Order: sequence, then C-alpha cells, then structure tokens
Amino acid sequence: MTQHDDFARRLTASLDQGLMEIDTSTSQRLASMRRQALGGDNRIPAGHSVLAWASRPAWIAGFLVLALLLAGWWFMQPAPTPYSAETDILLLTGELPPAAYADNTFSQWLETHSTF
Amino acid sequence: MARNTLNFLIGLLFLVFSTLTLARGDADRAPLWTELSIPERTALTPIAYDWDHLPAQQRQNLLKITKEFAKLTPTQQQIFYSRLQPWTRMTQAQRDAARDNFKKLQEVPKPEQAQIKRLWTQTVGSESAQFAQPASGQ
Repeated sequence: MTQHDDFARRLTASLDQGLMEIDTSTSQRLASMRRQALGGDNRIPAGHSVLAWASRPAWIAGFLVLALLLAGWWFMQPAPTPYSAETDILLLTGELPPAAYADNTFSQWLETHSTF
Repeated sequence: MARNTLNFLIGLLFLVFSTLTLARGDADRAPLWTELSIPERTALTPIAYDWDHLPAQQRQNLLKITKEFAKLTPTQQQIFYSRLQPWTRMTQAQRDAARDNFKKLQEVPKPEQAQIKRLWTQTVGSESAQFAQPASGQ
C-alpha cells in the first residue's frame, strides 16, 4: 500500500464517519437538493424582485442580443435624405443650372446681393 | 442549463447576423437599367449608359425624381434632360451644396429671387460657359 492509498483510505473513512454524524433534517435537505440538481429543476428562486428575474442569464443574454440587433438595424438605415425629390426636380428644371448653385461663390454672392 | 443558454445564444446571434445581412442587402439594392420600367427609362434616358455604374443610393434618389418627370411640361422635360447627366456627374458634396444654395434662394422673396438670378447670369454666369442656359424654362 502506497502512501497515497493510505491517505485516500483515511480520507474516505473520515468522510463516511462525518456522513453518519449528519442529523436527519440536514440529510433530507441535502438529498432534496441533490434530486433538484440532477432532475434539472431550474425554478428561479422565490421572490418578485428584478434580481430574481435577472438571475436567469439566458434572459439577460437574449435581451442584450436583441438590443444589439435593434441598434445594428437602426445604424444600418440609410441616413434620411434632407432634400425631397421635389427639391431636386425644381433644381433640375429651374432658371439657373445646378452648376450655378454648386459654385463655391454662390452662397457668398447670394448673401451680398439679397439685401436689396 | 449551460448548454441551453449556449444554444439560445447561438440561435440569437444567427438571427442577428441574418437580419443585418438582409438589411444591408436591401440598402445596397438598386435596380439595373434593364430592370427599370418604361416611364423610368424615359425620364432617365440621358444617363442610360451611366445608370448601372452609379452608386445605389444615387440611383434610389433618381428613381424618386422620375416620378415627378411626367408632371413636367415639355419645355421643363427638355431642361431636365440637358441637366441630368451633368447633375449625376457632380460629386455628392457639389450636389449637396447646390441643394443648400437652392434652398437659401427659395427663402428670399420672389421678386428678389428673380433679380438675383438675373444678376448672377449676367455677371458670374456669363463668365463661364458651364452656367449657360440650356433653354428658357419656367
């Protein structure tokens, strides 16, 4: 018998002795918890607080992923065009050609000459 | 429990990426020339050869304009035709500047607008051929 075997034997003996010394109510509670763990009983702890709800990581993860989904969708929406089609058609059929309006000096020129 | 959570997360992530991919596809989608209706092609005739090479967003904007084309008078349609190609060849910044300045001019009282347009054509406009009037519209 090796030193390790001897240690293992003494340890199991000590554990068995301790098991026999556990009182009946504690033993029953342990058995109940063991059954709960093995049976996959995942009922949330009693209580109505947010913490009780949040103790389910799947819900939190799901909520976060859905939030990310919504945020992603929102960011991917094309930026609203600040000008309508009506503006563009007026610009393309107006008296001045669009190139005139696009000229860098037009805005400045407009400010100077719009004070008649 | 851990396995269920993992499966749930994988499923949700798959859903997220599928939706984002589809959304991106829709945003980038703009019809090719061959997919346009006859009225749309009629309005966009001057840029028929450029159409398929334009950015999707620009094509979407131009399609909105085509809906107004049928309401124009023949003279306005002629002006529209003459300006459409130069318009599409401008940069986005130039188009935005043109829209901004056009809006600013619209805010000026009508009599002043006419005077400003006339002065611009006589002074600055006459100095450059690019401002030449294609036709006398409106």
